[in-house]
Amino acid sequence: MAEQVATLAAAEKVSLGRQLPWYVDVWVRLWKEKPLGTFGGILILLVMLAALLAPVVTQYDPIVNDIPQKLKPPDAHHWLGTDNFGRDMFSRIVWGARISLYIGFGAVALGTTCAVIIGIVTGYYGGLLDSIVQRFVDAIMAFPWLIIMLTIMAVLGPGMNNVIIALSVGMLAGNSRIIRGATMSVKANLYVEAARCIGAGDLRILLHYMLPNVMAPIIIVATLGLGGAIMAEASLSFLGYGVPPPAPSWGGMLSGSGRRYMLVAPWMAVFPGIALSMAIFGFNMLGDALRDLLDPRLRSNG
Amino acid sequence: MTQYVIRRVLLIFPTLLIVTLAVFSVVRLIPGDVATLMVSEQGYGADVEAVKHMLGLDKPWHEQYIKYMSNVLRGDLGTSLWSKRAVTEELSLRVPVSVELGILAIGVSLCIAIPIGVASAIRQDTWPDYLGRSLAIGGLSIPGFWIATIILVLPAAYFNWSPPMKYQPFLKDPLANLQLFILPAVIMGIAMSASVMRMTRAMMLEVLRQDYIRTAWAKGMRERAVIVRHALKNAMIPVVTILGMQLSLLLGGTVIMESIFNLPGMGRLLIDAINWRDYPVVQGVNLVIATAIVCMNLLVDVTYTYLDPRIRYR
Amino acid sequence: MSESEYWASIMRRRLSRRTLMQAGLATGIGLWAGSALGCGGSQETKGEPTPSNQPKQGGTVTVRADADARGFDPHLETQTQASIHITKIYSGLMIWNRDSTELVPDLAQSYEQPDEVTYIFKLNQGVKWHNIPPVNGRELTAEDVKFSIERMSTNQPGKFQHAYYFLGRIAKIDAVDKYTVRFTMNKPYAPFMAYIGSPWSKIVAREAVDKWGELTKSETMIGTGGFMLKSHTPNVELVVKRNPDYFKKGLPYLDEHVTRFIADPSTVTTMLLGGELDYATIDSVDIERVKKAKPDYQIIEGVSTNPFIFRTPPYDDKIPQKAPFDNKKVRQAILRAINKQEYIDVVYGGRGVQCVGMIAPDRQPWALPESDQIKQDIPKAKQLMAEAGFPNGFKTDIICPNMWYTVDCSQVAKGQLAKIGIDAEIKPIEVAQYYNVVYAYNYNLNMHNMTGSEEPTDYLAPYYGSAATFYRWGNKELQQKIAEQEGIVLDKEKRIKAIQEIEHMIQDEAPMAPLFVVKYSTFGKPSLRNFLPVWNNYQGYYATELWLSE
Repeated sequence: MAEQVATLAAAEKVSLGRQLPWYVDVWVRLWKEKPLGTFGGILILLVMLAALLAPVVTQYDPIVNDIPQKLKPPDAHHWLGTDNFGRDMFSRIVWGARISLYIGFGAVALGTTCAVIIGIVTGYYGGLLDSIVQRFVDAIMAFPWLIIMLTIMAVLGPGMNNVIIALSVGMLAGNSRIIRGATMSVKANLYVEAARCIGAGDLRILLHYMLPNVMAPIIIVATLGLGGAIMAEASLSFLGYGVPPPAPSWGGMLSGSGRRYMLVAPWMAVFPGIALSMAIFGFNMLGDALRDLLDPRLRSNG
Repeated sequence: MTQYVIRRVLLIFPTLLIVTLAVFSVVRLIPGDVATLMVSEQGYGADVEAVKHMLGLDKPWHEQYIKYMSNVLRGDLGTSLWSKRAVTEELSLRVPVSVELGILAIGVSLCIAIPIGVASAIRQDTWPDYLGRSLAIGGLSIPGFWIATIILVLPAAYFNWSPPMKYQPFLKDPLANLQLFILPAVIMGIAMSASVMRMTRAMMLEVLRQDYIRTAWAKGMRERAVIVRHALKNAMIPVVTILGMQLSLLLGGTVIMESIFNLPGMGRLLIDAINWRDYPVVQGVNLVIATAIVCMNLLVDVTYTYLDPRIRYR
Repeated sequence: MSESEYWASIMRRRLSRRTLMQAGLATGIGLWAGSALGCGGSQETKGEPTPSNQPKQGGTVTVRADADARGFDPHLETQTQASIHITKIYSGLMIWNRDSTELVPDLAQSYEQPDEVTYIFKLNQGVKWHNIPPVNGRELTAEDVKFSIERMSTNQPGKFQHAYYFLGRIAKIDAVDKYTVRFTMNKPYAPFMAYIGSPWSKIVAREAVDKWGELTKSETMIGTGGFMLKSHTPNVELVVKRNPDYFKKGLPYLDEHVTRFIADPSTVTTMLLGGELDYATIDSVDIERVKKAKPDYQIIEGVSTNPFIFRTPPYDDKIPQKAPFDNKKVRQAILRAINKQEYIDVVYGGRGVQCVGMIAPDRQPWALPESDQIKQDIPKAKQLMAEAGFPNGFKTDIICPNMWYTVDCSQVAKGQLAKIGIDAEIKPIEVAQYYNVVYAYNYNLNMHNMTGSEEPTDYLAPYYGSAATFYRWGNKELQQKIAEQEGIVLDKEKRIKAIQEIEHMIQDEAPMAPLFVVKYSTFGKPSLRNFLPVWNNYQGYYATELWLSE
């Protein structure tokens, strides 16, 4: 009885709102309680700033060849050196932030949206729909993600948008399971039944009660997914299926010429690798911290 | 409980059916023809239709599928279109390699993840916690192929040393075999350790707050006894789930390490088969991997239920 | 083409004269066993084995191939991954010399050509098949030769990939007696001898074919060559051992020859430095480093005969030319926007040779001379673009197989085309789909790496001939001229003139820009003698002449 009251109270807080809305409150708590998460957040901020301010901060065109300048080590003109086509590494890395973020956010947006739809609908309705869809989800999850992505890239062909589609399919199955689990837990709560008793329709319940309460796992999954998407793009580039050149994708810089010139021009691979690692590290740390902050508060029994 | 197990086992079959359909059709959806590829080698192209007929690819899909499935159920996974070896033969050579790499990688990841996870939980929000977690996440963030390249290239450049690169089956020469596998296993293990570490830490944190732990403290048990005897056992249960997921991730994720370290494993077989549109091999490998994963998930689910009687499945 | 095929296909050898002479000398000495010309302890400078060392028997040499072969049947396969083993185990009537300039007898003792359409080969006597069932070491006869050439000319498209050598060209093959074979052509056919010497025109045993049908598996390799199959671990290594009954007495020197399959070029460098490989061809980027790390290693340089070419879309009667590339001025403009040396500098660190015409520069005397080169001329190119109606250029795209070398070359091309206003997007395509797209003539610009051979026709007919399929140029006059030059058998000068005329026509039409060929360096252990650069089709054959000085 006491448990149920506490749950109701917690749920109430969510549905009725507090002094500081929870999505602002999270950031405040992050800053105060989670130094690692804050560090991750700062890294992400750096990456976003780089993406935003790329035209302002760089002076060379990242995709135009400048062959006489090829393979120069870092110096006053080229802070991080040049690559085998003479392109300035610093410019390429800063502009590359745009590509990584575009692909990362694109893949996560697409993948998470699909995962949310599938997860919430099957979790809420259950029954035959759930059984059938889960068989398909099981089937997708039975394939190693790399294989799924490779196959999709082979079918769709090269291009940034195709990479996004491939990455999102890779992440949608597993994430839909997580969301489905969370949905089922939320569904078991009293307030949902109460809402039904009042006569709220399914759609209203889904949008007003389920979705907000499932936000936490969604956010966590999305943040961690960003790190995963960026890493996956690097892996795809290594296997030859990434973003086509001359686009300055970090994964592409690491895999192709970067590897080949490793001993002659290590700056070609080392700096993009650092940038990539920083971004993925940042997203992971932030995601972990968010999970610590969000999960216990909103977790219901089951 | 048995009812649950039986139900779960029965549910595998529709999943596997969908898997075979998916495997069969997707590989044929990929544009690019094996027949064209076969005649493409010489500048004087030949009759693509004739090659298709020879390979049996001009029959309608459902006929091909039925023929394929009936063969599979008899244990015949087909013959490679290129090398003319039986797919089962190709697989029997490659599966041990990938499996060994997988097991070693998981072993490494457990050795790293569990101690760090436990230590982080016990000393939550202190420096050891931060350091441990940073290391684990760091391992996840740095691309494996990047580390592998650096590890291989630097010693070769400065010390003229390279690890032995020849694959020897484990039974034939265990030392040489392990020498080759240790590097890729460690690199993969580090990358995988992060999720296990997270889960271990989270579960330990939750368990440590439970009443029975407080009782143990109150009774005066020493720290180590509390951790090992009470906390760890209960925290490990969901870790089993994570391990099951890791194993599935592993089966496909070995491709990159196999390329760099020259291991003749399943991942490379699959990629080469996809590149060359060797349909039987692609189907066979995917089928084997998917079936393994589905069975593994079943095992994990059942084990989970067995270990924790509180969990009830609808 | 996969990366494997690239590395496979770029290697053709061409030694410096000096090395050739010494290799020839050493071979001669080796063959004349018993003559002790050696003096011990020679002081050798890098890359010059002293001829006075007598070849030593014994030892094992380990080399690298980038991938295992898909199959081992000489009449079905086309990849170098297969030919390097096939040329160790099987023999042919003739074989190309180490320089690839001249055909020398292998199974044949001698040959004569009484008229334009007849070739008579006299076989060596006492040549034994490998002592493996079902052939069991019997003697090779003219019947075997007849059987093999007829088998390889089987008209089964997609299977017998080299049928085009002789199908429809040979009127009859006669086994005149046990050791004499006579070929009679339908009409004069100049490429005949080159094709007879091809690594694929090997003689196989009837018993093997009767037993297995296709000789695709490695166990079915039963030949008359210097090596026999010892073991094949798929995708790991293939080991051959000495054939004690080889008809060239004294050869091979080695006991065993091991080929290990390693895909990654940087791994190769690592293994060479670590001593696990006895010799290997090194990526241009790593060459300086290997030189510094192994100053005592021998180096052989050679030039590939597989050019990189940059193509505009083809056309024929069914598929029309694609705008704007149907305009000859546009094509000529593109040809003049290109700076061939830049490709070599950027992608291969300066190690390459520019192509002039379609035929690779090393295929003398057929290739066009340097003086005929069309150099980069941006002002002229811009003027041509303006005359063609595109003063501001246009947007287009470049497709290429998804291999690092073609992708990098495409990036160079993009930069060069930008100078005349052409904005090209790069589209790397997975190899398997690449052929489909190319076959459908459905592209704008294409960066391609083509496979050449010793026969000049192989650079022309696949693209401009009347039987071409993967790329076809609808210019009928050109097609006819190519067919004609195939008929010039006896007068070499006349044929050279005809070919050069064809090349000039092609330069004017400008359907493609032949870019460059790679120059590569093979590093070998100091104790190696007589080694050929890895990755040419005949590497296997010349492994019989390889020996270790310690």
